[in-house]
Amino acid sequence: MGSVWVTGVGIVSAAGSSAADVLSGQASQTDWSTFAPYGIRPVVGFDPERYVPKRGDRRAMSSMMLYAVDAAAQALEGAGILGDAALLGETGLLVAAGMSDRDTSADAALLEAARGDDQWVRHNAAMQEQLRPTLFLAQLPNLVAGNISILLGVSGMSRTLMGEEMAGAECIRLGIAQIAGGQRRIMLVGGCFSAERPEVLASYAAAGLLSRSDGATREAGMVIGSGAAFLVLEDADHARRRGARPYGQVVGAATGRADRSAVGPAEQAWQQWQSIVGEEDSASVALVGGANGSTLLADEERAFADRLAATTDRLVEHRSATEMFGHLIDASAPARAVVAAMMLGGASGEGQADRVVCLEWGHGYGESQLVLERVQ
Amino acid sequence: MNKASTAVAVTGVGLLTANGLDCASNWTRLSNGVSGIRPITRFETEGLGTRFAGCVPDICPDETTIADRHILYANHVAAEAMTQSGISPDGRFAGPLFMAVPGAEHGWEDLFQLRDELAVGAEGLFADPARYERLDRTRTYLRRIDARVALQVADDLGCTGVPLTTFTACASGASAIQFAVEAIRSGETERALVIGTEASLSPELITRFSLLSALSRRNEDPSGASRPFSKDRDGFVMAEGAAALVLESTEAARRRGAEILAFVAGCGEAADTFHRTRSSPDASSIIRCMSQAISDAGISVDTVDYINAHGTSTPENDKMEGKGIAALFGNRAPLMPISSNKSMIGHTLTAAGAVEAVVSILTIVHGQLPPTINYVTPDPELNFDVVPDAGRRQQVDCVLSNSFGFGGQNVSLLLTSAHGR
Repeated sequence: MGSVWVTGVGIVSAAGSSAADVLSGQASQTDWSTFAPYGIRPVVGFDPERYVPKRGDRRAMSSMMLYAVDAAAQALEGAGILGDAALLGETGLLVAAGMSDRDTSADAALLEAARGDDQWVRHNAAMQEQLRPTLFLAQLPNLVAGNISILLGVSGMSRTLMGEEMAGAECIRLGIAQIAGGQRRIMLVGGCFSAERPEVLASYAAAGLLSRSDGATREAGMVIGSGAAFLVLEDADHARRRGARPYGQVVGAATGRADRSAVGPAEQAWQQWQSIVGEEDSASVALVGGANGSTLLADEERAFADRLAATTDRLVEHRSATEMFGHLIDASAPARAVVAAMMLGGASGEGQADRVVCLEWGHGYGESQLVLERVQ
Repeated sequence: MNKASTAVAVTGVGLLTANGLDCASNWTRLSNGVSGIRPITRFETEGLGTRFAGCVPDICPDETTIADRHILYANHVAAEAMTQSGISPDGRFAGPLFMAVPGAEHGWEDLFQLRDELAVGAEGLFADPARYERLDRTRTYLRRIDARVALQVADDLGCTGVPLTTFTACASGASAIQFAVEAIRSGETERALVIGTEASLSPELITRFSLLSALSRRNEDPSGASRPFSKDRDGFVMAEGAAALVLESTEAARRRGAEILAFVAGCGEAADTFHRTRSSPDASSIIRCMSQAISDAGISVDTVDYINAHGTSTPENDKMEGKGIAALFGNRAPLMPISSNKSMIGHTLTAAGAVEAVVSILTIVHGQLPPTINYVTPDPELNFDVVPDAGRRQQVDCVLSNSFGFGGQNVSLLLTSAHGR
């Protein structure tokens, strides 16, 4: 198996819309008013025209598609392949995304029009008036990848995974596998999510998962955030030959689905850690986690961190991505990977950990882990 | 450039379409050129531009929600595939699950119910998300969760690991097969279950595709509406359906003495960079996609016996697919048998790649080509042997199955006979 490097990173988030902004640690704000009593984290510092100059292209996309194209372009630019048609033509693309925004005002009008015994007939008639043809294309999950291909030229492969947090984690794991297995030399992997959607908040609210605030006190729970995060993964030999600078090297990635009533995420994470790094480990480690607002998962994460600290004796840092971004759902694991890559290969670099382990645990299911290390 | 990748064995298949509840009933009708397209009776169609579809036979009550149908259809086809493979005598599948499922949304039947329960007015159902805390939590939450269908199916069948849900629009079923093939080739697993499921037929989806001028409007002649490669084709016919495949490494299948039905010998893919709904005018990504499947299998273009076309019956797809086939196969193109299952069962969208892979395998197993029906007015620009109207006895060992997604994702699979290797 060949080594896999991270050679580019890109991010749009509540903590800034470039990797450098995010790492500088500017505090992100929670908007508690728009969807009170729930909070959301809107993106900060985002310029939709940066990589998508044509208005017509921007109008054809949902907000999370715009975030995704921008973060993908940042990652390609950082890797030095933005605009390199030949390399982009063989670059593979894996995207974690769900459906984009519905037109909730159209939906409201449809619901209002369709009342009474013949509600379905009225509904059919109202839809012919209310629905717009272009909206459909701005909603389909695969059109995130479609727009990245069309606007940035990535066309070697294009696959979209759905499934909330684990979709993002699997994009990373499978992207690494594509390179390690020799099928691809460069992969662009990532995900996106838009929090500013009442129908999505309603669904999480129904499940009792969201944090509430009345201004004075705040209940535990999720604060979902908007954004996108992408990484360029590359065969190390290929990257060396073209003189690309690595942020970090992949040690390994794992995903699993524990029966949480029998095996806690902390135990699962420990097994994943051992399967990735083995028993012997003398490197200093940093942990990027954040339990997405779940007190249960926060306890589990602390238990894993304690075990890591006891074994390696060198847990130098424990960072919460949830504090930085809110919960990015499909984009959460990619955003943590971006943070980890920046911690290893960012401008500063001195005195930090040799390895970073990223945890991503789904709010409903799934436990994943990615371990990156400094390239010597 | 590529050396041949390892072929992966298919040991079980399951099929649910407008033409039947299992492989046997589907094959009888598909090989005899029988259409399953009919007027929609499950929901109100008055006021819709298209009022017919490839509706599957009733296996659940009319009021079953779309999300529940995705799961029911998936479990239905999985049971057939697992039974045939003999891999799971207890009905449990000890391996990973790879699914193709449409994106999760609240169905309108949910929304009407929520509107009435919450007694909301014109300001909109979602204007105050906090109201939702009063509702049946599980129902309202789960319907909007993308992983829900795959998680439920994985739990029902006992599959291991994180179930993967892939969505590449009309290529989704083929992409799911591709993910599973890669997992077996890499040694990550010896076996995998692949399911494509599609039940999103609804007034809203019909309206949305109609607004894009993608659907046939031949309401007076549903069974004649899907006419791939015909000059007078006017759009595709929406359909429901599902298909399942049990895939295994050849070693694992032989070790347990399983009968191998066919092999997935090659996978190819190429994303289009041209336009959100149209292929590159030179069909370059379609050509690249097909030729990658062929080279992945380590064979030459000349070895392909038959093409199971994407063949949607839209003016654009059939033109571009035909252009790609003509360019890749050159002098052989006019002689190559090429047919479209969609002429009989419609376009099963998210499931289509898996449905047509299964039909391709049945084609190999039975030694008979399913026809393209409704081929009355040939398109002079598409000079192919489309196996018109009636099935044809012909042994084929190497089938290319195309799936092209709305949004630019193209996937081709190369399926070969069990005795060919």
